[in-house]
Parts: sequence; C-alpha cells; structure tokens
Amino acid sequence: MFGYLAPAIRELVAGAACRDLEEIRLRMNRPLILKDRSGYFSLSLQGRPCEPSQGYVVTRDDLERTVQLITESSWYAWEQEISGGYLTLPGGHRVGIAGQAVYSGGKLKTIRGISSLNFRLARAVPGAADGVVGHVVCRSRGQLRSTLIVSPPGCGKTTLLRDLTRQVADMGFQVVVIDERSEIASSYQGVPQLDVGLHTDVLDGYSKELGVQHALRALSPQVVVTDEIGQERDGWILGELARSGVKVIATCHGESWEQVKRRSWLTGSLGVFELVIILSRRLGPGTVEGVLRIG
Amino acid sequence: MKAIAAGLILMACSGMGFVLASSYTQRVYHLRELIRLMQVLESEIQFSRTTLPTFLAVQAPLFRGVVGRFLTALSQGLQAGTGESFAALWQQALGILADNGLPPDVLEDLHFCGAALGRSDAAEQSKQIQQLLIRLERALAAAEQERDQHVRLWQYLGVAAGLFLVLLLI
Repeated sequence: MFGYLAPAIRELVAGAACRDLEEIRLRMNRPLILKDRSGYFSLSLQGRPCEPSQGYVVTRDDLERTVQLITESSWYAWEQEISGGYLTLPGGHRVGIAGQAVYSGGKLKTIRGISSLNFRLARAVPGAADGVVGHVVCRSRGQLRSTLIVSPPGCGKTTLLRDLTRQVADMGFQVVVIDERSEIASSYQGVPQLDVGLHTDVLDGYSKELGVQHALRALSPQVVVTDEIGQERDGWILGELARSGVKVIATCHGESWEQVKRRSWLTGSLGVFELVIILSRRLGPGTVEGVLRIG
Repeated sequence: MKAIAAGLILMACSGMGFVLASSYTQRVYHLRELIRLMQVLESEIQFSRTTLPTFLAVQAPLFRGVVGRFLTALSQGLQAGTGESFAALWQQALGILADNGLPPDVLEDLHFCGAALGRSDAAEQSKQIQQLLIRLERALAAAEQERDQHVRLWQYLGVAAGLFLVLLLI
C-alpha cells in the first residue's frame, strides 16, 4: 500500500516500520499523521515517531503525487468512487478524499482541489463471527435465520458482517453481497480484496434496489448480505427478498433493538428478520451484548 | 574503375533521393498509427474505464517504430511510481515523436491533449480525444497529399542528380 504514497512520504512511513498501522492521514501544509493501536502520532524528518508539532509537513507536491498514484493518473476510471468520497486500493485499503465539492444537476459529481487524504488500512478479522454463527445457522437443519446486526458507529458491525458472510458462504450457502459502499468485500476493480467466502458473488457499488433486482433475476441467491439499512426504501427491499424466499443478513445503526424497531421503515418488515444481534464497544469493538430470537 | 565509381555515385545520389522521399511516407504512417492509438484509447476509456497505465502496458508492444517507443517511454514513466503528473510524462515522451519528423502543429495538438488526459471524467476525455482525432485526420490528409506530390519527385531527382554528376565527372 505504501507504493501509493508520494515518494517522500513513502520513504518516511516505510522506514518507520510501524506495526499495527490503522490510518495514514495526509493534510496539505499540515503534519503527516499516523494512527495505530496506541493512538495518533506524527513522524519527524528522520522517520521517528513524534508529536505533530514536530512532524513532517505534507506539501502540495506530496498530495498531488499521491493523487496521481491512487488514481493511476486516470481520474475517469474512478468517477463513481470519487463522487462517493473514497477510493479502494488493491488489498482492500480505503482512501478517503476531502476537498471542494463540484455539483451537477443537484448531485455531487466530483471533488476538486483535494486538500486531504485518509488511508485506512484494511484488516479482516477471521473468527469475528465465531460467537454468533451458531445462532445464525442451524447446522442440523441446514437453515439460516435472517439476521439484523444492530450497533452504534465504530462497534465492528461491518467486520462481524464480513466474517459472518465468509463463514456462511463457506458452509455452502449461495450468497450475494450488495456492497453499496464497497466496505464489506473492499473490491478493487470489481474483485473482492477481503475474504467473503467460497460461494459469494459481490455486487460492488450497486444501489440496494438495483442489487436486489439483479441478484434475484440472475444470481439465484439463498442469502443476500447488505450493510447499513435504515431508509424507507429498505422496507421494500426486505419485502422483495422475503417474497422470493431469500434470507437476509444486514446491519443498521442503533443503540438497541427497542430503538430500532420503532423506526417506520422497519415496522412493516419486522417479519423478515428472525434474529437480532446487538453490538457495543463495552469490551472493545465487536462486543456482542445480546442475541435475540424474534421470529 | 570509372564504371564502378559511376555506379557508386549513382547509387549514393539515388539513395539520398529515396531517403528524402521516405520521410513523407513515414509521416503518413506515423499519423495513421497515432489516429489508431487515440481511437483505441477512446474506446477503452468509454467502455472499460481502463486506466492509462494498464492501457499503455497492453498497447505499447502492439505499436511499432516511433509510436511504439513513445508509448513504451510513457508506460515506463508511469511504472516508476514517482507520482509524476501524466502531463509531464507525456510531454517528455513527445520528444521521441518530435525527433522523428512529426510536424510542429501536430506536436502542439498532442501536447494539449496530453495535458488533459486522465484529469477529468470519461465524457470530457472523449471530447478531448475527438478534437485531437479531427486535427490528426486533417494532418493525415495534408501529409498524404504531400507524399503524393513529393515522393516521386525526390526519387527522380536523386537518380537524375546521380546521372548528372556521373556525366559531369566523365
């Protein structure tokens, strides 16, 4: 991944040999910031960890060269991703982009004048779903329960979802992942960079509506996996899947099941889910607070 | 001895005439290759969103001569991983085309197109390439006309000059 950084920064970061690196933040005319398990820090000109006030200052040239490298000098190839504010690199690493929005027809068309980039290093956690997969899949009957994973932000629901997808697919279920924001499989040019299982098709960048239609018409799924449901239109999507006899595994934001089930979009679709998994950060991301049978 | 000398003089002068004539033919060939290149690039951008490094890595071996060397230089520049802007690498590689007889107005058109490649969305890229293609087609038509007018002339001039020198020296 370091090959996508401007040469001056690449040399610093590679030379620092940081372990468990999670983020690399480039902000124009401000110190280079890195994040690992211990927190945020900068690197001096000699490549040693230091306070940001003494850190290497990212120049315009650094940012421009990094943009050239992450886009492969081909802005047009990443139009859709850039309008979503991110790019995915080989290996599933994600680069968040900040700059000036350009609108066309009322929609965000692109970002220009890029002023900062945030490299988030991808890390799958095999085994993250070990504690819940036994509830989701009844192995003796070979049946899967449609499952909703509920958690506040930053509690590891996408990590859990990814590993659950992998385990379910490896058991032999035909799985379709509708990866609207490329966060589940972290696809690069349509190819999943993270392991989502043997029997999984990934619809990368598809909207949920189009993804469901495509999946049902052409991919014969037994299970559809999607992230971040919570809009009114999602009720229709869940209904379509239920009518087609397809199981669903999805996530949504919320502090508790009580809070989520009051939402209007879900009221009409309560019958779709059979299992709810509640997460928190109480003992670190991915803490399972409860598993509720609701169907 | 005189016959050998006469033959050598005739061959040398004829050869020069043919070389001068071939520059017109080469120009037509290079322009056709550039047109083919830009047509393929436009297709790849429009239909596959192929990135420039991937396009160049695949296409460079498929073009021979000067255009092939231009593409190879560009491809190597991108693969170096320095983050140098595509426009700067394109401009450097244009030197190869400039050293091989492409007219200044064509080089200028290529320069402007290169400055825009990779910097905007697919629709805009297509527009830029289309504009370049129109100019290249015009340059090709002019080059073909020049070739038709001058190739025979230089070939005959070369032979005639050789004969003239032979007669003069005899």
